[in-house]
Amino acid sequence: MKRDPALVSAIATLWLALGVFVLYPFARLLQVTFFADGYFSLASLERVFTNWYDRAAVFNSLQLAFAVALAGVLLGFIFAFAVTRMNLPKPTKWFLGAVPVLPLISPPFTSSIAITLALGPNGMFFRWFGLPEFTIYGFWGTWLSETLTVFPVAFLTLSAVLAAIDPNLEDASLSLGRSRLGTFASVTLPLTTPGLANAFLLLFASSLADFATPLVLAGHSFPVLPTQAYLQITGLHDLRGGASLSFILLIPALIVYFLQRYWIGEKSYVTISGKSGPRTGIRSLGLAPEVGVMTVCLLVSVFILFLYAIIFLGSLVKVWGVDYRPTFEHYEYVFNRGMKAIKDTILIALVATPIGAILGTAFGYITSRMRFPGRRFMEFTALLNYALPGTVVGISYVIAFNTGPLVLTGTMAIIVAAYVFRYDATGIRSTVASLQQIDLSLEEASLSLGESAFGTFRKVTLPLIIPAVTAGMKFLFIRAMTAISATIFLISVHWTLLTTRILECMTELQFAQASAFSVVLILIVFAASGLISLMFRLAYPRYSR
Amino acid sequence: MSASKSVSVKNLSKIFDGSGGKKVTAVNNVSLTINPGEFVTLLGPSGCGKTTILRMVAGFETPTAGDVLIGDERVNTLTPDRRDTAMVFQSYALFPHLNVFENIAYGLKIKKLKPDVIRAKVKEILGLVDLHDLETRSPNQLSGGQQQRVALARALVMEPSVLLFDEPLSNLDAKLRIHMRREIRKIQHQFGITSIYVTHDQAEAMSMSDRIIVMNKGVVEQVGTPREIYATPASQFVADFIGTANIIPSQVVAVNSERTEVSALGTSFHVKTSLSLQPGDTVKLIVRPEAITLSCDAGIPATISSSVFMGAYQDYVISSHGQNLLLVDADPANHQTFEAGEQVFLVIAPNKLHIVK
Ligand SMILES: Nc1ncnc2c1ncn2[C@@H]1O[C@H](COP(=O)(O)OP(=O)(O)OP(=O)(O)O)[C@@H](O)[C@H]1O
Ligand SMILES: [Mg+2]
Repeated sequence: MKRDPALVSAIATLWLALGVFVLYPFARLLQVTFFADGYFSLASLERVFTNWYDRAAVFNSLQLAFAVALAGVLLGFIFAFAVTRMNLPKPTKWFLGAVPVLPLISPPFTSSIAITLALGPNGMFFRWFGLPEFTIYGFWGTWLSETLTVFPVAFLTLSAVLAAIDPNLEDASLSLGRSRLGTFASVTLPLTTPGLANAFLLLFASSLADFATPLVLAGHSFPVLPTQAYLQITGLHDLRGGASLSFILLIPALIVYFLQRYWIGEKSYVTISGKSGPRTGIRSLGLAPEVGVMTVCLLVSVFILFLYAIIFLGSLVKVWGVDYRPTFEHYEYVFNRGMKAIKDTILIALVATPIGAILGTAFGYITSRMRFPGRRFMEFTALLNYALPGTVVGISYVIAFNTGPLVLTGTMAIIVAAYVFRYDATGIRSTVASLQQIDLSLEEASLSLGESAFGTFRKVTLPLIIPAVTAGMKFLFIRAMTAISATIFLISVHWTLLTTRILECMTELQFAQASAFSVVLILIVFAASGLISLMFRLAYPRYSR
Repeated sequence: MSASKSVSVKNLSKIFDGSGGKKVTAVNNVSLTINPGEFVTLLGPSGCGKTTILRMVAGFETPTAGDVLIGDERVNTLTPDRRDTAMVFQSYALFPHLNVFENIAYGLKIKKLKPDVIRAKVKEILGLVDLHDLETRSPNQLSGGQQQRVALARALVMEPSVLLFDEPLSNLDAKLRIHMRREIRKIQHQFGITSIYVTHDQAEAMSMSDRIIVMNKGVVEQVGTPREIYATPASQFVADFIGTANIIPSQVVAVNSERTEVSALGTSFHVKTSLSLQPGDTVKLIVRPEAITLSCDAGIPATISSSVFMGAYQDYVISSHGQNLLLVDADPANHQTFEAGEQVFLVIAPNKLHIVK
């Protein structure tokens, strides 16, 4: 059972991929950070802690990430709860499921631009309501924008977890005399704990690593590490300085990662047991909590729609705030001057998504179902690039693939690799999480009926984890279309990206063009992620969960 | 259809790494041979290692030590799908994404049978397990007992060389259980499928098995036909675990070639035994409740402690020489019954006695 040659070669292939695209760049990065002129040196790290501005950036980054993750998980849970655990009319359910998708499929700049236009200096919100002016730049603006941008990730993971909880367990608790709220607190919530922790980690890491939002909204009084690192490199051409700033950023991310592994790793909640009772209907939590949940959902949804309306309208008028005559000239600009970026971005995402899906599923399956030496380290390595801030990954790829045995600078491969090994993390995590919920005896039953290990994976395991794989694929595709933090270092004259075009527009204060680019990008992503869902629904028509 | 094959395990052990670094010896140096076409039952208290043995035969667990042989082939390194075994799981393990038909046809499709053959076989087996109209249901639309029968059908339909059952009938009502016992036996017999059957239900073990393997704490206590296990248990544990037994401490008085004389209840008994004993040894006298009859005039003096009418029979607890004994009067309508407090005499049939160390 142990020395399956197919397994051995699969493991070898995966290690090779991880070695080239994760470990090697990481090693080169450490080399640049810690070695000066061939000698070990802590000088560049010392500089960070002696400079008060950099020290503030360390503190601000942590504070921001914590606040964003907390608010995002809460919001995500409320939305997930409404969609999966409340008896809502279908259209309402659809609406609550669709709105959080908007921030998810737009580049991080989108909400920043909209928030600036709505809440910024002379923002329309204040003029409309006659509120006293305050500055949106700094902690609150960044926090608001990042929370809105990342909470959908929590929403998606948590609704998958909530949907998988067998309602019979809740019925059992009710029949043992617990109240509905008591059942929620003592059964539903504990069963969701691994999911909550997982979501918190995802959000914490993405806030830590996000540099697009702070670039627009943080301002000079609220420095955070990723922007500092970016400015260090692009502004001051100080690769070592930027690398050391990002290195410091990596430490809290790793701490959270280890905490989560220690905390969640021990708990395995088997809820798909193969011994299933009839599924019962949804039990209401009671009127007051449900009204509360709905109020939050609707307020947040309306605010998000409002922000997107601004972007959309902004792309259709001459100059927002000055000249409201309708025009298509910004879209003409996008389709003439931006066509190459559109084509490149789509091609890169189309190539990265299937590769990432296969790799992510393979990593998730092999590390959670197979026993082999180095299994834990493989899982750690496969998730490393996601734990690392995008800025670090970008810089390490530049260092690793600019010179040395494998030169990839200027190619499409380097961008695809950066996306695949960074953003297959969601696929890996959700695959692992959903495998934890599938009783091993299902796979054993298939093996005992004479199906091979691979056939069992294809016929039993895959159909059961397909929602997780789909979630991972969508996430990867969306990120490949919209991410910027790592790949801004990797673009070239041959391969450019929509997101970097948006950034260019914004630095030239072409807000209308930036908005038009954003709208186009959102529409492409929307269509494509719908297509991914459709494909899987066609491939697995009877998947009813 | 495959020819019958024997199953044997040799010095088989399984040690799990329990939580906190503690080792759990689930199976401890077990050797067994199950003949081709034979139906054996693994019987023993919860946690004694029954499931673990089945899983090692099926290939889901790697033995810590020892060998598993199917036919003449050592299968230790063979993956489960390469072993000609099918298992009925304690947890059913029905595929939630497949309906009843697809669950049962799952293994047949792997055998590359023609669709109409598969359809016919599934129909037939569904008839056997009494689930005609449920083909298109999904497992979560079935009752626990129906799910269990689908799980059973899914393994039976494969007609493998070896069938492994892990408490396959635990969730069925008494009537259905008796029906299923017969059907399982019939199919097993018809195809000569070597079967290992785990159960907690003694009646099931007694009525179905060619031989019973009694286990305790990871070791085999006794292997034998139901009759042997009941009449000549190898240990106090077996005597106590199978059926009801009065276990009376006694001493060996004399040993001769035919019978051994032991003293107990203020008298002495001559018992046949294969144990080698010395006068003075302490042993346990095993007396089944039905071996004792009550009399008004002669025998071992005793007092009735309780007397319960059970319909077909009368249950007594009596006390004699400081010993509480259970006994059953199988035909209370035929003769006099006694009430609690009455003085009676016991008559014990000497050829139904048995001693263990
Ligand atoms: N994967 C495992 N890890 C650690 N210990 C285990 C594992 N599987 C079984 N055990 C232990 O091994 C012992 C035997 O377990 P097994 O499942 O074989 O019992 P069983 O005889 O089938 O019991 P039951 O009749 O309750 O099903 C038990 O003490 C159990 O706790
Ligand atoms: Mg068991």
